[in-house]
Amino acid sequence: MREGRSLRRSVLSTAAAAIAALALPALATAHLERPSYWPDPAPDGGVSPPAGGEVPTARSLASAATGAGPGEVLVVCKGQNGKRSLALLRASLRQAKRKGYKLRPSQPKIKVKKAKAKRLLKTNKRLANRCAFDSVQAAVNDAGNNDRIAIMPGLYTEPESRSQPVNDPTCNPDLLQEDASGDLTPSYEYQVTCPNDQNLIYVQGRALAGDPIEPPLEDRRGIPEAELGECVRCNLQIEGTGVKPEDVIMDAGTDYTGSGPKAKPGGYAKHVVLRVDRADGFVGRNFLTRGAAEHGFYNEEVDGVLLDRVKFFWTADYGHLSFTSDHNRIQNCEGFGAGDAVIYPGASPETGSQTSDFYPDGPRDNTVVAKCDMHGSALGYSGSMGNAVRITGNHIYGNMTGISSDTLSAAGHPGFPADSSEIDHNYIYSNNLDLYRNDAPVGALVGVPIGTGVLYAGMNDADVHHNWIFDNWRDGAMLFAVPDAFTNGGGAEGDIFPGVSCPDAPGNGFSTSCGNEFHHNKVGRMPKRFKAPAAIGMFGNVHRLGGKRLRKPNGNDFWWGELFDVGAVTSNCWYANTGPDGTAASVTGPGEAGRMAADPPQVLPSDCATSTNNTDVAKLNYLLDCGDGPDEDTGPMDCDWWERPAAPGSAAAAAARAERAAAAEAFEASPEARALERRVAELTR
Amino acid sequence: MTGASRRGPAWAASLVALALLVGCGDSGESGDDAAGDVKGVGPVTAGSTAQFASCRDWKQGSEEDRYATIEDIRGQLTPQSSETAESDLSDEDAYEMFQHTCEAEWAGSLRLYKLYARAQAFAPLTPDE
Repeated sequence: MREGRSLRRSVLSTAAAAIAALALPALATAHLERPSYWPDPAPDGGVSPPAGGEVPTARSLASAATGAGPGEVLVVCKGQNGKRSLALLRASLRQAKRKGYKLRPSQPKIKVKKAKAKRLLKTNKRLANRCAFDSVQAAVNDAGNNDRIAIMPGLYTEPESRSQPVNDPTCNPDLLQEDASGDLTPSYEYQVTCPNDQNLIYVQGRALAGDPIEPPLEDRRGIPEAELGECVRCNLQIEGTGVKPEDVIMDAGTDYTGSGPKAKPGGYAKHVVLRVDRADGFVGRNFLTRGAAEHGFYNEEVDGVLLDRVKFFWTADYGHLSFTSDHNRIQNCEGFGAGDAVIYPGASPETGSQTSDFYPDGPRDNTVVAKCDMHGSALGYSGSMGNAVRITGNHIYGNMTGISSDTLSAAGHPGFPADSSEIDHNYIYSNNLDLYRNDAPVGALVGVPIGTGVLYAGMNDADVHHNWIFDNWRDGAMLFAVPDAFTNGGGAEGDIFPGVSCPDAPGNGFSTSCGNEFHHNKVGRMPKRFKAPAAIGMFGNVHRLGGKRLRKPNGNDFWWGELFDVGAVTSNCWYANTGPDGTAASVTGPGEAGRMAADPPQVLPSDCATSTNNTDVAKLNYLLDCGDGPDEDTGPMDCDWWERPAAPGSAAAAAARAERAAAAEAFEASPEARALERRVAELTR
Repeated sequence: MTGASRRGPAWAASLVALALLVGCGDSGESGDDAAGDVKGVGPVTAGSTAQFASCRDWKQGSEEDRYATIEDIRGQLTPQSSETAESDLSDEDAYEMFQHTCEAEWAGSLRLYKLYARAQAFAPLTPDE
């Protein structure tokens, strides 16, 4: 083990850096985008039926074959009159009838019965007769409000889109949008005018109106009328007509290794596979997006999105990214191979604790992620400023960190601070993937702690309940505060609305973390008859789910930063959880700092009405080195996030813990600790 | 609340300005006219290298390119309604952070703007030296 450097640091630098590390924006995933607004949550009556105002309902594939309205049905296929698509469908049907298929790796196979297969083939034959496109983008270009695009089986690489230049001089730089300080991003008009500059397939939802308001409004509730054109592709449905999502692949990758839907791209032709922009009431169903320099599916400023039976494979950044969108639901999905997160609903609307009369039905969820497998990535789920997102009924496994939601990436992300996340009824396990190695098959874009189930870096009013969280070798769930001064770029993006749950916030500068509840979770134990999906071992992920023993401990169940003591009740609480032996007594937490001893309290508060925070210098010091990013230091006081922890219960884990505890004790008695305390006092008074 | 700003050293800014004037240093995949005026490491998109620049790009860039990238990222990571692109993280400190973070071979894919977002949070708390 190399000798750590932390203990040799000067008092001054230790204190300064340690305090700085409170922000821990190593977790700040974020992305860069034009100034965005939350759409009006009310239905848009300018189109009939009205668009948005709720999660849209998918129309059946069978009804597409009849041509019944509203709207036209545009069919995309491979081969003359769809012959190639029909051949692919027949092959897929044969497989689905004989062996079945898996919609998600964690779920049982689905076998297709003869009658259903016959109906699906008949529907596709009828659609093939109407096939007029061999390009999805061409069909989108011809589509209008209420239309449906039925994509028959095949691989859609969109040669015409690929041939369009990146940084097209038609748009760049004339249609770049300036923010107040002069930084440039592609405007909505840029995307509309040069739709395939960045995107393989682009869905323009609304007509162009006026120029974007510069600088952007502080109040991000509602796209400014001056910018908002009428619906041109609202209530659009794009649907694969195959048996399973893999039958229809929209693909922006290049230079593939291997074959089949899971083949890995060696490069990317476009930034985004399918981008849906201001297209309210959008439904996407039964397809796979693959291979993008940024994201597989991306929706921005949309009111009403349903994604059902969709997959996101091999994207350098996010598999799915939704931004400033409302009435948003993603379900029955799978993704892997993301350098950041498989699913990322960012800057979601203020429909939670900070709701206002702009959302007359608030508080409510604005986004739901349900019944998805998120695996084989740096993060399964992530969301900066992920307000009022519900994550339910998913399997999240085989990532470095399973779920991360934060208030760190303030710049460009309206909705400060994040609140009202709900994580319930999920299976969050074996997130022990190491992508911080030279031969990593997925290039990690972010720094996150290997071996972690859930991580909240600045969250309020979260409700984490009725989950199974097990075999995560570092921590089952982490929670810590982020002082307002540490949100990057000088603070919040846009207005801060009333309803911040921390006492005296935002005036006192501590707007996170308060009111977070963890309850009725089963931690360190797997369900009876649980069968791990084969994909759990993808990319060399390790787990200990074999054998009949249900005890599958996390390294530590609940890690709580305890920061900061603001002299008032902050209402973070843990109750009615059960641990590896099925009792509350076996739940571990609040965690030692990287296995360091910590100041009191050393119990997880169970009474929400009396729980207070505590400024703990040992944990602070641990967060210091993690906040400083990856380095090669591996001493007992150094951050250990960048390496996979030893298996819980092993001799190696016990030895590491003892070593760290001893180092922590030495630190707590050191002048460095006193300097750190003084610096905290200076900053918090 | 941007706090006290500590911009990068004047000589670095001068180098960047000089490089822009002479039009050198186009990097990345775009290679078109619009990207030609943009200085920095990594692929240029929409007039910026901030989106895609990685540790791998960082290690391949010149000092001037690196400072140009820092300036670009700094601007992108301040609130969009803020009239200043100043940061509490000095360009020199950002440079040092990228240097040590990108040192490990496995770090090549890490995105610089995501790293910068982290480091920027350190700056308001760094005592005057």
